Amino acid sequence: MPPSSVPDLSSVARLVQAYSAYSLNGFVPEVILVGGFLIAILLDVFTRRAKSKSISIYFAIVVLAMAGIASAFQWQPFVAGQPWKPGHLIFPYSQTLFIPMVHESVLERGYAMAVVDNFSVFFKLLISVAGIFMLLMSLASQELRERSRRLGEYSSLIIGMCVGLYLMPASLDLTMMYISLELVSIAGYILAGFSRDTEHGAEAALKYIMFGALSSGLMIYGFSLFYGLTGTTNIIAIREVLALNPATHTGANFYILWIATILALVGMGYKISAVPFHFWTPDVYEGAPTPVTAFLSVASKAAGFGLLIRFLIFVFPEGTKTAAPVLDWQTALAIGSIVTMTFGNLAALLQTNVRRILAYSSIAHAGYMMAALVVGKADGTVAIMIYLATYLFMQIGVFYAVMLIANKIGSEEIDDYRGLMTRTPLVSSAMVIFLLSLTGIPLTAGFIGKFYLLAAVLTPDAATHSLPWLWLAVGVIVNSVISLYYYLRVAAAMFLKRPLRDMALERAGQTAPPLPAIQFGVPVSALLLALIVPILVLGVYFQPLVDFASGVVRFFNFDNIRY
Amino acid sequence: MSIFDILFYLFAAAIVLSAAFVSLSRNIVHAAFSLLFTFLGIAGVYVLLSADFIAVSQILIYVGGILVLIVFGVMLTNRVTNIDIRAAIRSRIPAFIICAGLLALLIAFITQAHWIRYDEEPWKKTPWGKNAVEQVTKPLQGSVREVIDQQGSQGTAAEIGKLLMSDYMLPFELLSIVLLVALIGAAMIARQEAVQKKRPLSPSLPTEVSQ
Repeated sequence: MPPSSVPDLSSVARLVQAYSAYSLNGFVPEVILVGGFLIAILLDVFTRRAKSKSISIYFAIVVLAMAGIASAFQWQPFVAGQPWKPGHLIFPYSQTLFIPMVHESVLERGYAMAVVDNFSVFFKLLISVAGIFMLLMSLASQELRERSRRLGEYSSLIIGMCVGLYLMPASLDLTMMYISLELVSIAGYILAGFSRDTEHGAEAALKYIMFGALSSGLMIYGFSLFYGLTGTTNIIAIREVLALNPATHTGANFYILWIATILALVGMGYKISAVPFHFWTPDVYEGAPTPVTAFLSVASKAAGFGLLIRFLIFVFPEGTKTAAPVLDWQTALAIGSIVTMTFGNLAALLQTNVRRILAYSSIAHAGYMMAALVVGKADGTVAIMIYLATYLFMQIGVFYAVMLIANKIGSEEIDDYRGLMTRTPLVSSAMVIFLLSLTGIPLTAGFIGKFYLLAAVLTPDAATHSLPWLWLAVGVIVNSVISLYYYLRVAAAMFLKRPLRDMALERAGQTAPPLPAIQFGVPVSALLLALIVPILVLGVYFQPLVDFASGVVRFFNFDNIRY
Repeated sequence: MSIFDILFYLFAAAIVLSAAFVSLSRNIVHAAFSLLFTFLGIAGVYVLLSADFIAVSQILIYVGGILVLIVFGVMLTNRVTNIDIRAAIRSRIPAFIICAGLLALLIAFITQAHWIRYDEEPWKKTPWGKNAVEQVTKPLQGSVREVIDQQGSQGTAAEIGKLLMSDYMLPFELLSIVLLVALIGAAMIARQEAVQKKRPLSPSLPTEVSQ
């Protein structure tokens, strides 16, 4: 911070300051979450002697539902032909000298810490839904029930994590991006190590924290390079400086810009578990309590993609003549995408633990979504959002089914899944539906996600009428076929194979009495149905979701901003 | 070579040498104490950049808080002190090659790069609000060093305070949530579970996570 006295604020700057107070209006969901977080801590103190600690989870569900409803009210209807407006800016700059803040359009240009636009509202809704499902799932978790003394902390940490998740896709400033990402990470480390008395739980937390510390350190180093190159931390201002001042992106600065971008992508790639920043994924997914795994694989990944889209498309937008045309990040990301999906799928083939299979498959899904991000334009962003919305139900659903089975048979090995169809038809059929949806079979939601994703990747180039990313689309299709093998392996074990015990007994010449049937209560089965229904409905009636998502990205049009 | 340069290289040498000792030392206690000089050297560089507030914070938080915590953590877990802490001996050569390559790359580009100055084009002259921008940025011409030479340093604490209560209010408040989450997590991890403890915990886990 250079030493200087702040010059007199002009009338416009005073307006901006007044707007800062007004910006709290756009901050209602986060305020609800923070209030809920503090009350949850107090609630834990007052219910310390209570027999059942589930009340804290019910409380967290209420808080997340309220925050989700409050974010739904932030949705802005579209007016055709209207240029992009950032909506509510949260804490626009009034003091920072390095932003030309005295310009009258400061409120329209997005020089602020965070923004409330339809893009962030979409992610807030997604995260709320994922959080509510995850908390409902926690109620049925055997693993959490055994440690019910800590459920108060558990639910307050989830609310705290949601504050960070809400702000990640809404951030317009590198400082905000870093701090919200770090909030999510720290809460995630603790939740991953919730069952620290088991070896897997302690290992999960330690691996997560080691890789998290490394990647967030690299990311903030990249951010510092951005600040040195452009003199600002606001991503919109970074784009404008890069566009206006050729000296910031030519010569040696070109390579610095590359290094800075790659370092920034390290931190975000860690959140979405892209190769080669995926090393924590299998161990954390295996060792963390199953609801936490489901939440990390959906909400944390969704917010990571929100941050990634916001960062890449705002700093290096396509289709603008004035933007810095320097960085060919699309090709770099395309290579990363192909490597990520291929590695995830090939590694999943070798696993015998169902949770590890799902961990590697979630790496592969990150690769698919990165393929849509390569396209970058509105189509790609819409495809990612549709994919995330469908991915939410199937990923939480499949982890829920795994958790229900593990509650009863105490194992997640694929061999122990043999013959489960005869013992629990409901959970087995649900599991197969989730797995088919993850593969992308038609009539399931997963097909819609894959369809729009491929359609985006195969968008022809407007100038040359060629398909620039044909090889990427081929990669996605080939990988989907590979994934079918290991998803169906789990399904086949449940439906077609006979339990190992029966086979051993038969070989010994004895008749095997059938294994006892597994019973589930009504609420448990109802939640399972609540996850299946959206998958089947979105598989045939998906137009509302598509309209919703394509409405969101209308604002990614930068062509109407004057320079 | 001015007194500024001499002091800078002195601090830089202290940082590099003590940091190398931290990562190469076999004994974790020696490494922890060597870290003291790294932190102090960084505080010295902040002073040279006339970032007085950050320099003081660096000493208070890193030397006074974090380092003391590390040393306590090391000393209270007696099993750690005698272990050779240098992990992964077999991958030392590839790690060295990668790090040396990265260092060379960064040095090559960082010394060549053009870092933005406050009197530069987009800030001084923009298509929007030309005069106003010049008026605002008038006191700031040239690099940080030159500005200080022209004006002398007036201390940065007041400016940082203003910024924390205006533009940076949201990150500032969010940091308190981050700290609260970390605090709850540290308490949750460190708490003794008398009822259902199956096997003893590794002694290093609570200190490592609570840092």
